[in-house]
Amino acid sequence: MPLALRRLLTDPSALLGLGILLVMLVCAVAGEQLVPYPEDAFDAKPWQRLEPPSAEFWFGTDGLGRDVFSRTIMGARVALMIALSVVVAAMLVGVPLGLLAGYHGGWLSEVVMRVTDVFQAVPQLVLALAFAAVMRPSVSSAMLALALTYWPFFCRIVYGETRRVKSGLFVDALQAQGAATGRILFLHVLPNVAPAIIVRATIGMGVTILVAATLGFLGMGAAPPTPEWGLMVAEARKDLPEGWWQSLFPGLAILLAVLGFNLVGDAVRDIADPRLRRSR
Amino acid sequence: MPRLILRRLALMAPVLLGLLVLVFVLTRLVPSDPAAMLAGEQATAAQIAELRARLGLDRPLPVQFWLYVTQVAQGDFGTSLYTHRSVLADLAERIPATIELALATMTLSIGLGVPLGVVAAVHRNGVLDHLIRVVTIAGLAVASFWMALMLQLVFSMWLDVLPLRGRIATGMSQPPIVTGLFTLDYLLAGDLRGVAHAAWHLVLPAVTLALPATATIARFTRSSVIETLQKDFVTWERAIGYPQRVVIWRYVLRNSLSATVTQVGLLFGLFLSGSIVVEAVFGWPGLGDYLYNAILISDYQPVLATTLAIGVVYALVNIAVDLTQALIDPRVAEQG
Repeated sequence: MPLALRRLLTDPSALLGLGILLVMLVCAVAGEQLVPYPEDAFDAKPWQRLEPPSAEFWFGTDGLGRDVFSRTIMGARVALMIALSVVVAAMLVGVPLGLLAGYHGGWLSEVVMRVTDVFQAVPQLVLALAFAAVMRPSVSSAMLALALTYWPFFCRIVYGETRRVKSGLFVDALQAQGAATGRILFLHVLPNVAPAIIVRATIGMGVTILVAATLGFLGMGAAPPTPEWGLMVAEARKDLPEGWWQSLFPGLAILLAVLGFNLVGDAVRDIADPRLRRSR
Repeated sequence: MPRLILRRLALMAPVLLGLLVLVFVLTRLVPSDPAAMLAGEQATAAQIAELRARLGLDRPLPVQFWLYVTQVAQGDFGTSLYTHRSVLADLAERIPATIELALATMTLSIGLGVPLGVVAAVHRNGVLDHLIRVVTIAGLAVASFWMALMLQLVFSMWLDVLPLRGRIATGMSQPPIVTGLFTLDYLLAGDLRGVAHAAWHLVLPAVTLALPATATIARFTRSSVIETLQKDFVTWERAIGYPQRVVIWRYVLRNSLSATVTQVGLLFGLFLSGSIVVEAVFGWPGLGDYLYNAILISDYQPVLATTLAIGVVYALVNIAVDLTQALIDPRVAEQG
């Protein structure tokens, strides 16, 4: 791993990505301490509506008089929390199912893989919208909808990799020694499958931030007054073209966050999977 | 080859049935009562109950599903509670709008993405390559709803050079519908101003949707062109003195496109989900807009039918991609 880490730290685009993610992490952890008006996450201040960007309000104020800079920074926590929970939850479902299906084959793999087929028969956003619509719009219902529609991606990758690893001699040896299935799967197969999972998870963080923001924008995710980037862009729509700043900055925040995960994800893929290395 | 097609089509059916079950159950979990919604605010409890019985909503879930499937098998997708029209008629009107947008997007993204990828590959690690990489990576990170709003802001509100929303201006009369694609229909009617008018309305939504697609195509074209450039036949062609232009655009590109074709299938998924947002923002009366509005008011029948339609289109595109793949590279066909 030290070699992999060194490669990551010498790749300029990966460094840029890591830098972005670091800034985002700091904003997510210490948002209230960093911003000038932490109370603006929730409180309306109607006497200062739609102030353009100035020294006082760096990104201007929104239709309810809230400081857009403060809300954008505090939005990092919401985005990161959604993405992290969704990816972890999807992994917790998808990885064990993929391992089991890939290792056992037979009817179990048929059932699991056909279910993933059904989930992937339409783009993720379409299903996530349908799932989210069943629930009352909130951050947690968006998370649930996204996790329920994202696990098949992990399942399929782990399934394919497990089938590849399974044919290795060391698995035969373990079986001959009478190792329990759980032991083989989680102690021996999983580490071999891990690089593919890590790559998928990193890129999945970016994808999830995008889809979660889209749900927020469409009114199926975070509910007001949550400082969620997609919702902020949606709320700003009625004040266009005058209050352009209140939709510009949250959108840029989404762009940066997704860019960070994509850059790091690309670099991690190059290291983890030499077959896919981007030729340079 | 025919065996491959049949096999893929046969595999499609159970998946779509599964999709239908999933979405059906989901729509029945919606807390709001469609019968109450349809009956209106002044309806009495008895009227709502009667309506519920008439719609079959009081029957057990499996029975309701069975009724629905037999109904669909007869080509009846039910009635939209919102438009009060048959869902099939609504779809027939809206699918061409989405197809028109899809074709414009595909043309734009292939037309831009392939040359960008080739240029990046040829100038590998040069300034142009880095520039194109920055643009493509950023293109994949942009939220399309935000891009749509920013384009509207700049080109429709500030500069006032492109239309804000819709397929045609409100005062404009529709072309006589033949294909449902307005640009084509105006052309068939010999109305060139209409063609320009409809094309003008396509620009912003198509550009928004094409951005991530162009980025993906450019990236994959770049890496496969780089791979092809290292092949012996390229060295040979260069050795016998073919000009660079001919080597690249005629021989290398052709040998590299197979990877790009695979991407088009994936891109279609990107496009379908993007179209929900883009159609909502640009008021484009297509499938995505229809689905979104139906979900908003929990209008079952359109949600089910649209999801199914999207599933069918998605599956067909993927089959088409595999077939194209098999045509380009016969080894794929043998693996069946």
